[in-house]
Amino acid sequence: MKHALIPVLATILLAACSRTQDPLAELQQAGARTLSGQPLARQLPARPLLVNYWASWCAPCREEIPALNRLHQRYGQQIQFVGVALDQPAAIRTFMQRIPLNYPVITGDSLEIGKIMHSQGNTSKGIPYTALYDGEGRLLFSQQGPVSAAALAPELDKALGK
Amino acid sequence: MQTLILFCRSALLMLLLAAGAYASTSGSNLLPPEEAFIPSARLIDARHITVQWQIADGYYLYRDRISIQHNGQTLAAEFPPGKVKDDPYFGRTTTYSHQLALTASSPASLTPQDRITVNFQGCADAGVCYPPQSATLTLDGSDGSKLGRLLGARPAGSATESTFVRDELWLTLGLFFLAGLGLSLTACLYPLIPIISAIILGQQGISRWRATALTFSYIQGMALSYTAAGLLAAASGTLLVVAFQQPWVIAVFAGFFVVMALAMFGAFELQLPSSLQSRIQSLSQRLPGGHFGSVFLMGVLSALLVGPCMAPPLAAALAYIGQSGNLLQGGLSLYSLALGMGAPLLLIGFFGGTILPRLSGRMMNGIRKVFGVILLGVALWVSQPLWLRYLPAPHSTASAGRFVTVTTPQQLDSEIAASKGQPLLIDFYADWCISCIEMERNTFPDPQVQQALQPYRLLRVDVTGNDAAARELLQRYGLFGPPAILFITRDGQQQDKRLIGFLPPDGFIAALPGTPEP
Repeated sequence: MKHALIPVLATILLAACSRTQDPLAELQQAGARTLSGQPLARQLPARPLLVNYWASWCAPCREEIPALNRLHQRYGQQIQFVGVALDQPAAIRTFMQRIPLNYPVITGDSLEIGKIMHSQGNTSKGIPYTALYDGEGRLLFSQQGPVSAAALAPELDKALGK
Repeated sequence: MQTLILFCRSALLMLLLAAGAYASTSGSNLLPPEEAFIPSARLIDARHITVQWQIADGYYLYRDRISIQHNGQTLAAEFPPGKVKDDPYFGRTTTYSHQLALTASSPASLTPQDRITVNFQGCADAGVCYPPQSATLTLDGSDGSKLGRLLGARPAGSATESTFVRDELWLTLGLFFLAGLGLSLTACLYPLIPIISAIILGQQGISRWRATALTFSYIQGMALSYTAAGLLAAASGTLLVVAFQQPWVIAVFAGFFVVMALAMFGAFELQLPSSLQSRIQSLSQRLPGGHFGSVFLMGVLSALLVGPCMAPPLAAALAYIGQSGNLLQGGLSLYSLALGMGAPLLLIGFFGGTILPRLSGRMMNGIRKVFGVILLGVALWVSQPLWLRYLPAPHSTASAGRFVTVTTPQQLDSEIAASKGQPLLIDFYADWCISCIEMERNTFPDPQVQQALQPYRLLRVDVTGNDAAARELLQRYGLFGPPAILFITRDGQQQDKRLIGFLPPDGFIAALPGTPEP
């Protein structure tokens, strides 16, 4: 348990020092954890972060997962991908048995996560919601509704300064 | 006829939307979930409730993700048939658009003051889904259905309803202020402009700042009245909502809208009688401190003058406050609303005549006529509970002809007396009850249902008007509202069996209390 706390504290500290709040740290402060109950560390040195809010009950969310998997294959080394599920852990596991996600997923209390998502700019709280941040937690791009690989790839390139 | 009414409703809605277009603030064109899905609940009898959702166009709810709880216990619910979607992941799923009304039954006895929790989850056709929503509803229907009945639908231009679920005071106050601003763009404040002109701008040789200060004082007076209304609403609880449903209150509102409309068409000039004007002037000269006192007083009275015009959005606001029962928040909310309404008047006070006459006479006349038409529409809409039942029965299906409609206890008694020797089916019905209309459309016209109903004499108790007679009728059978179906045996005894809520044809036939002996 102690070990589990260290990365969280590190992220929180990191976030407290930087000017903008790190979106991943914010989510973990609200109790979001991986399916095994572990916190998810922000990869260092801080690289761009792609956050995709989804749920297994959300048909449009499911449809974009393959595209995100493909993008993760291409960009996963330079950009940290995180799926944030507003869902029950059991439902997520069942879903991932059929359609695995290539990147880590965190989940928690849907209401709390919904609040964070709202504060991060998704005012209508509808999902899927995809947001791309730079290494310092500044929002570069966000989209509500399904994203295609073709639309997202140029944004990821831009985040990498390409 | 049903289609005609529907058409009228949508036409009126369009008109109102047009009127409220100024006030629309949403940046994203996607509604937040609390506006896309508006639940309300109402007690039918001690063990049954009907839960309704108003679902915005282009949005839908999942049947499997709806649950209703009372004291932590999940209630059994009966769902109407919905639209079946083939979901590649979940298989066949049932969804509902536009409206959903379902009946839930509770093992424990319920009262109108009880609260239930409803959980639901839905999506927009645009390819976006919402996280599961949860709402706590009071069973007296004050959360939406009664308002919905009075207003037809959510009033355009009032941001207040969507905020009802939140309790952050500042947010509430801010939204009430915005709602006030929105309201000031409607025709309702027009009658105040001549008053402002007369008592403030009419004064010769006063400075711009003094005029602004006077207008401010006037707005404070107006705000005082609204604050008082807010406090009253908070203190009276949901009683107020019930008051708003009295036919005579509705009639007064509707009448006021018609008068306002006539004024807009130029039938007469809306302004204070000159005797009153001069009295105010002489009063203000006698009052110490110059005009401020009298202007303040005028503000208090003006709120009463425009109050009825503001009725529908105000009803929504007051009902919310009444429900929360929080005096401080109630008073402050309506104070913010009044400040919002008064803000544009301040501009008029400051700039005076310079901003008003910029519109050409012809244009102003055109605008006034448009507002006149909108006001007539509102009058028609608000008064719906009064005239709807005098239309030839809105259900032209064959079954309707077989129902004998009664609206008073006396009529019901004489009908019951007249049908001795034949079993009776008594259907409690109202035009604003979605489940009743679903029964009317889907269940009663079914040939097999017709067959099963052959032995019965069919009575319909129409409680659309919600007047004293309707309430007495409901009370007599321990009902809080429609839909409900009772059975009376051939020798005049009421059977224990009663049907609550929507039933599809086969369910209805199965639920009939045994075939009555011929």
